[in-house]
Amino acid sequence: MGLLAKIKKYKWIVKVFFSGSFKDIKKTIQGFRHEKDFYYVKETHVDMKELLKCALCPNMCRFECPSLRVTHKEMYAPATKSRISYHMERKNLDMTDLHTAEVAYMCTNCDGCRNWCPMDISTGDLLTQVRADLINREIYIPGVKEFDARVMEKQTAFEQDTFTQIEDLNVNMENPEVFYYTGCVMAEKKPAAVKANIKILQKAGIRFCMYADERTCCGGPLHTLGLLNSAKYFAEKNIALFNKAGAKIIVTDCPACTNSIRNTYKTLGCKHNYKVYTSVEFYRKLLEEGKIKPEKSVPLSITYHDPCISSRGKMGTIDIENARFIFSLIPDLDFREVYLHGDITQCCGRGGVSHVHHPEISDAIGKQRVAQLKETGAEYIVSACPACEEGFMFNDGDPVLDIGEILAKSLADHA
Amino acid sequence: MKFDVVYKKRVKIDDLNALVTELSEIVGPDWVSTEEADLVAYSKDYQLITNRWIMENKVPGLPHVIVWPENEEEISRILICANRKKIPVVPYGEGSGVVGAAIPVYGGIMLDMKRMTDIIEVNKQNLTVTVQTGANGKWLERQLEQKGFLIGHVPQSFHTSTVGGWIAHRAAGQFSTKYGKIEDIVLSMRVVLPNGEIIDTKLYPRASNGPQIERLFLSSEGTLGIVTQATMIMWPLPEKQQGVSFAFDAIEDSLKATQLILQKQIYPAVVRIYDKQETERHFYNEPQAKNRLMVIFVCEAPISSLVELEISEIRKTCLECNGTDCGKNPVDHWFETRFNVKETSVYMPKGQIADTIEISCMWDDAVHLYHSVINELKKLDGLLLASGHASHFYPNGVCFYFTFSGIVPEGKSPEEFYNSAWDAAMIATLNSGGSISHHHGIGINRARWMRDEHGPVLDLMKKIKHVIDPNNIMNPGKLYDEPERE
Repeated sequence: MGLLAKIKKYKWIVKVFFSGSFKDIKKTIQGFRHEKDFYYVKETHVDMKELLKCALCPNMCRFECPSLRVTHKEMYAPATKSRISYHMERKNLDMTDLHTAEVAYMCTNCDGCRNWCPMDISTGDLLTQVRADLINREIYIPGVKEFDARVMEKQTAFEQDTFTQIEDLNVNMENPEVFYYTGCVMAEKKPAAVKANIKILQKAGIRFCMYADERTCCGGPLHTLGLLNSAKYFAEKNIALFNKAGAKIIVTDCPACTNSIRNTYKTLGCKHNYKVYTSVEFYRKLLEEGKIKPEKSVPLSITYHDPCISSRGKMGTIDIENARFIFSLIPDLDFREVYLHGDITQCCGRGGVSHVHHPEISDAIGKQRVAQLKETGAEYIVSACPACEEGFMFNDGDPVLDIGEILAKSLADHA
Repeated sequence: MKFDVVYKKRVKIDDLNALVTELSEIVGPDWVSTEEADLVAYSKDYQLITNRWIMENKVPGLPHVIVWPENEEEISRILICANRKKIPVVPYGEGSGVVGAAIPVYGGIMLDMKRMTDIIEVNKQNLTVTVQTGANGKWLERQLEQKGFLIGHVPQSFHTSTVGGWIAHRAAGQFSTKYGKIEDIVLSMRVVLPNGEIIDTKLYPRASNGPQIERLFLSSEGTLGIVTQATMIMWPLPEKQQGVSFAFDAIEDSLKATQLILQKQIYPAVVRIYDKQETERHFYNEPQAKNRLMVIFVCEAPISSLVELEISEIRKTCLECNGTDCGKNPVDHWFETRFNVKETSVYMPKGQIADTIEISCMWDDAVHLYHSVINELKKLDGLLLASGHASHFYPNGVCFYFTFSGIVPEGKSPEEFYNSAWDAAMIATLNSGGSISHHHGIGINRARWMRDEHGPVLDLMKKIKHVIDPNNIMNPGKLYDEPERE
């Protein structure tokens, strides 16, 4: 909003302010000056001013909160989580009590709350900051410390990489222009999707590298859990790998990895100048540039689950249309829109690394979303986030396809 | 516990462990809590002064235990237990009530309804939906919209309130002039009485079969029992929706125009009259509304021509009453911002004490009442903002919705300043022939005005309460109490 528009919008406040007596004006100014007294705390990662604003709201976003929807408990409503956190930070509630501390983790970071917030507050972001304070004080709810240790040991979010030894899934061209960064979930659970992505890049004539044998976690899940030191370790490690590879563009097959590399690394003090794309963003670019052309018939009926990170602006851009654009170009594809889609997509349950510390809640959320998607009657659920896809497959059993797999099916086999 | 508890009436429960054990046997141990953080979460509703208390490290009231039942049978057993032990029970939906009705002033059992959200039946022939009362408004809207229906009850708390809360407070929504208030929408209900008895009132479109008992529970604020299920009227989604707005120089003209429209039997879904202060606040982008009052109308119906006819008559009437047609932009702006609730989050940390007060009156008292309340509020030391809009309309009268905000003057506590503003508005309302609440309810805030509102009728209400709940376990401290005035 420009300055003139702001003046117009807030003129009424100035009028109200000057309508008071001298005493009232003086007291009002004092109120503004002493605002900080209501939220100041020493040594915190938390934006306390925003946390208090959220805590004072009547929970206008609660209907969209997946954690609340499956737990049914008031302490897990978004503004209530902020209120409990506010009291923890102000030392009114004991944050070493794990039941109290757990409140900060009862969030899948889906940003459904932010989507409805007139103050543009993400309760999930605030709770992520609270988690960092908990970790800083060595307060771990069950599952978090174990996850940290495991990722630091294995260097990935899963037990092991299944495909890094497979040559076909580790393409490294000379003088690469693109670094194709495979996320941990994709690497472990979706080798077919990785293969499809490789096919698309090859069809487009992109010179790319993967360094799959050196790949590690992006650090995003650790950051989400409040494990900032571990997250920074991976940020530095990945930037070093990108520097070694020499490509200027990074394309990831996971929007959470995109968000980490594009945005989170900077907040950890790890700056870089790489241009980072999700696979969906990059494929649209390739399609518009005519580098790939969907020609083959793909006679499948599909529905699409918008990953919350993409569709709610978490990465700095709102990406709802790109997937639909891609589907619209694929011959014979029967695309069926689910009722809750776009920026009102619902959480898959895997956000906030919830399956690590609250698997029953994560799975309950996932099952609700699968049921919504299946109401479309489509043969396949398709998404563009491996965590969502893995969660749906885990909770449902049916295969879930990545958008890269659908696009790859439509590309001719000949070069 | 490092909090100061504001309402110091918390009852003593001799054997809390035994109570917790009994409740756990009823609902399962996962659905009972005495954890400190959980008790704090349930210590308040959205009575606005409680936001000040958050920042002062205070909690309004603390329950002893929270319980999350799954069905009526469990609720029945909980109430039987509470009755035997004479322990207060406070029903809780989503805590968006603004008069303190869900604050556990005596502690006791906080009974959260959020596990009971099932849609029992959508009857397309009768145009009814039967739903459990823990269902959230927006969630319910989404379920029905997918099937092609709406209820049309859209209070500003729609995103953060339950069907049970609407019934408990006899709520009214933004589209109520067409679709009716909750009492027009609810046809029947299931109630668990304080003695554990579960009753279903009969479903009928209308009947001449004795006093309508279910009407007792509308606006009872959880003091007579717990409504667990309701059958409500629904409608097919409208084919056409159209908005129009007008600017007026005087509130008298805007009220007159609206009165004439309703008395012509035109019922727009939405009608809102904003006074000059609120017009400047909300419609700063509308050049024709400068230093004037903005009035918006939204009409919708399954038949397009009906909407067009209504809009045409509205336009004709407003122009005849000196209104200026401002088109649909102000209506679009209202749709975009109607759920924006951020002022308290932004200004209460800056020391502002604020609240909203809605009342109703007959048409012949309307103009006098509006000016009277605004004038009385403005007389208060420290008060910076007093404004109002009219948000619900009837052929016979109107609801005004006032907002006040100010800074606590020297020598007064925030609570004293807050109560003085409420007193000013309530006295002015009663003196002008108005009713003390249109749709927010009584709770704690207005209980001290119930005698003036009802006179001897209050005694009858208390007798009914005593017959149904002789041990006064259901949400004590609300509605009937008459605390000393400040």
